[in-house]
Amino acid sequence: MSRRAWPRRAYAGVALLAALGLLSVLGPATGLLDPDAIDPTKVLAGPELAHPLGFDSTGRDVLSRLVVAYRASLVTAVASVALALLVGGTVGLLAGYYRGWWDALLMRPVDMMLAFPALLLGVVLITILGRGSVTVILAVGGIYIPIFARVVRSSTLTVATGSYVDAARCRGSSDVRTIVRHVLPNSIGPAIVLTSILAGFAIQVEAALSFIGLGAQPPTPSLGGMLTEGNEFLTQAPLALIFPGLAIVATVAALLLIGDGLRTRLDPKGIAG
Amino acid sequence: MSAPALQVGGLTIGYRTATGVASAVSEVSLEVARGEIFGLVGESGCGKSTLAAATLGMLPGSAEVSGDIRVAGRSLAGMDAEALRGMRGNEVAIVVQDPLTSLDPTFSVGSQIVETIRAHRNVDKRTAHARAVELMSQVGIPEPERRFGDPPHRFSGGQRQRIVIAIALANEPALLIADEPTTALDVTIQKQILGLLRRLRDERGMAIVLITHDLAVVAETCDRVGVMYAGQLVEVTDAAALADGARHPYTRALLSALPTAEHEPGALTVIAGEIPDLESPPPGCRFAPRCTRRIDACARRPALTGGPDAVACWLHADAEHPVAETSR
Amino acid sequence: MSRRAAYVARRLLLTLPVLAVMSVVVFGVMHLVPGDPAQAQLGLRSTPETLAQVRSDLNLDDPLPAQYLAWVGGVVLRGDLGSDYASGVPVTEELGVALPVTLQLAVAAILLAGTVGVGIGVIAAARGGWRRRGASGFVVFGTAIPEFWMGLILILVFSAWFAVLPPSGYVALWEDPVENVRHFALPVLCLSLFQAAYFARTARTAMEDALSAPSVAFLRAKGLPERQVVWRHGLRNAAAPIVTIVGMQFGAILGGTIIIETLFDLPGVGKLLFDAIAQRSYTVVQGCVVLIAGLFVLVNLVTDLLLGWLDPRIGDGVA
Repeated sequence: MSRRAWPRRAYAGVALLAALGLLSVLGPATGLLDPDAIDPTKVLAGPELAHPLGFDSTGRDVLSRLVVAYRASLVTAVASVALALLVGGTVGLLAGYYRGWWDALLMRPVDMMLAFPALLLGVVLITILGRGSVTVILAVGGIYIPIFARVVRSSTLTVATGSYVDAARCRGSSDVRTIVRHVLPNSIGPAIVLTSILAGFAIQVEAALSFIGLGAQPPTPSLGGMLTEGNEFLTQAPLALIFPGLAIVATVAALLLIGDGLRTRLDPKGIAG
Repeated sequence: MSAPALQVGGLTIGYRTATGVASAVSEVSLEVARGEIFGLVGESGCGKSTLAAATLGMLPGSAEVSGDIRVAGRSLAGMDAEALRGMRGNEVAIVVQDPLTSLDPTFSVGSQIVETIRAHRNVDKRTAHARAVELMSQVGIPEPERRFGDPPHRFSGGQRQRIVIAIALANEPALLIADEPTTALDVTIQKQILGLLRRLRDERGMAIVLITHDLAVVAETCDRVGVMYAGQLVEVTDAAALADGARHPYTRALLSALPTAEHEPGALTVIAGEIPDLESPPPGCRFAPRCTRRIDACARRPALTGGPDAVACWLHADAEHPVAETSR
Repeated sequence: MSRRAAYVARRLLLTLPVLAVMSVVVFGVMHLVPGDPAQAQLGLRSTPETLAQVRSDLNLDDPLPAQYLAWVGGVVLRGDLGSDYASGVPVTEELGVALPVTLQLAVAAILLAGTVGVGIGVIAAARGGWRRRGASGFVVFGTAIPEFWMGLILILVFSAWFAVLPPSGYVALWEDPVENVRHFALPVLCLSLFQAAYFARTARTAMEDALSAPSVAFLRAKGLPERQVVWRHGLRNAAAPIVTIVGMQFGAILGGTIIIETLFDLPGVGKLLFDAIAQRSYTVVQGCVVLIAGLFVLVNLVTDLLLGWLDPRIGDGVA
């Protein structure tokens, strides 16, 4: 294992993410937030002491909704990237280990999916799967499955050279055993880096889909949904527009910094882009 | 009588590392005259490549240098970066080991010769183009006009090395450094390249420093040879006299390590021990720890004796060739 | 046939299978959506007569492969992508009107992102120091800022607070160039920031790799001035990965037009697609996806050809 230290920026990323994550988890626990409480007298009202971000168009507290929406975004991002890692990683691992026509068979659909721009793919997937919180996870995960497949295949090819596999077979080691004990630990590095980076992008894509109405449906709060409202009432309630966006920027920036830090340790060759 | 192509006086180069200073070159003095091929031999890490880099003014920022290097009579010591750049590819040029990595794969070979010319001479493109074609033909590339626009990967290894030599010759340098120019090539091509170098010496009076670890190359091509060990120059002698007349114990050990027909099969002589740690080298002769003929005096550094056959060894000091002690 | 021509021909041939598979996927979308496709097309406007009409138009009673072939045949031979059942206008006509808008947006965005991003990356690699750190910061924030949020903020600042730029709408270039630029300024800016950040990172890494190659040491040993080493040789060697990424990202920009055109009310292919999805107008959806994917394939082809020219090893098929 190398003796390189984690770069400072990775620490900054972790700190930021931890802070945001804690806020979103602990916030609701304090009982101070109520995302659903409607106060008709406060429609689009400005900030107050107890409600630092003001109120939205139905009289709900923006800060409360932001915290809940943010938590939902984090959950969606984690779930979709986990899905993509699992499915895509398995595909890539098999393609890179067995090569030959397995490789061709598995990677053709992957390459075809990669030929579509990400957001377009997400839109198409949602169109097929329908709208909703769960389908968003599936759709966003679906966008990133091919990317994980490519990267894991790439690093597996590097790690599991042909003779390596033959040697294991000569020892009587079953394929599964070889893959799990030898190939996987050595080729997983770039995929981990990718996890951090794509988690950030997943948050952005989910917000984009929600923004155009293809994500979680109201009244469930979502960052994109809050921005749609922010768009409608741009001049009256700019805070409802600014803060959800800042939350996204901060989170993605943190995840990118963490990813960069992970890269120096786990993926020096930059397979994960 | 024009100045010697290369004069090195008491050159000492150290590299600053995280743990100290590694002494790469220690008190080296030598001279290479015009029209002479001077071989520089030694194992990896003996300092020959550092010496080459110093001659080009291309030492890294971590290098500490003392002593003098003069190329064609001009001292490199006082030169700033721009002056050094003006010397490179102009008064002194280098040919390195791997021609594939020397040439830029995305440009045609002809353009790479032309840019070398125009970096140092104020000529228009057509003149430079014509000169480049002429150079290509002089180094033995067939149909140079047609191949001017070809990228490097369309040439064989030997041809690429010839092109690198053409680039080196473009501005008629007084001194050519050839750092292991044939190591990456196979034997027949090797002979051709070495023949080319000899022709350059004969026809142009060029001075060539031929750095190599291959003693056979030295015997065949060089006029004189210098032997380096762990940063010290231990012997300088006529190449022809090397096989029989070598005097320094290290040189003799190198020669005996060469497999020849006389050796018993399976009995290759090895020099026992390892090269010293350059961050804390032995105080006197650096070969002493491994030398089978070591004496007490070797704890003090012997200087090179004067004269055409110089050797830095207490064993060869006599009244006619007094060996002075040096500081390091 | 010269080596270059063979390379070009090879790349052209390779696009065909990609296009073929893409067409299958796009065709599949309509049939994967739950429900009866004919019903889905017409929605509330359906009557038994129109349903029968659509069913026969789309050959819905034929086996799927036959439907596919009929559709592909229609597209390739007659350029017929069907009709927009909501408006009655042929899809190709709607696409024809929308395409110039999207093209102007996408090309402007990629040019801006390309020059700014690559420029920042190259300078960061060549000079280092504070420039490099600044470039890193630019990369992180440029990547993290969502395009549509940036659009909203820009509208807030430039249209609402300081009324200097229009928040939406489109004026054609040939009608009024100045107004055209004013309406495109914010959308182009939004689309290009993310890409510029990505290009900056790619360019910086590519330049750093190029400048640490052994051939660079030899270039310096020849006595070439440093600026030639960096801008002539370094850039040419770094160009291959940069051009590849820029070509790839054109597709991402095309995808981004869906949201940006909707946000800024630009009548391009992205907005057309979005509206079509909302209205369940599946022939239009198919047409838009075919167009976007087709453009993407075309750009990849051009990128490959450009790579062949930039690096002779690729052009000769040896790299």
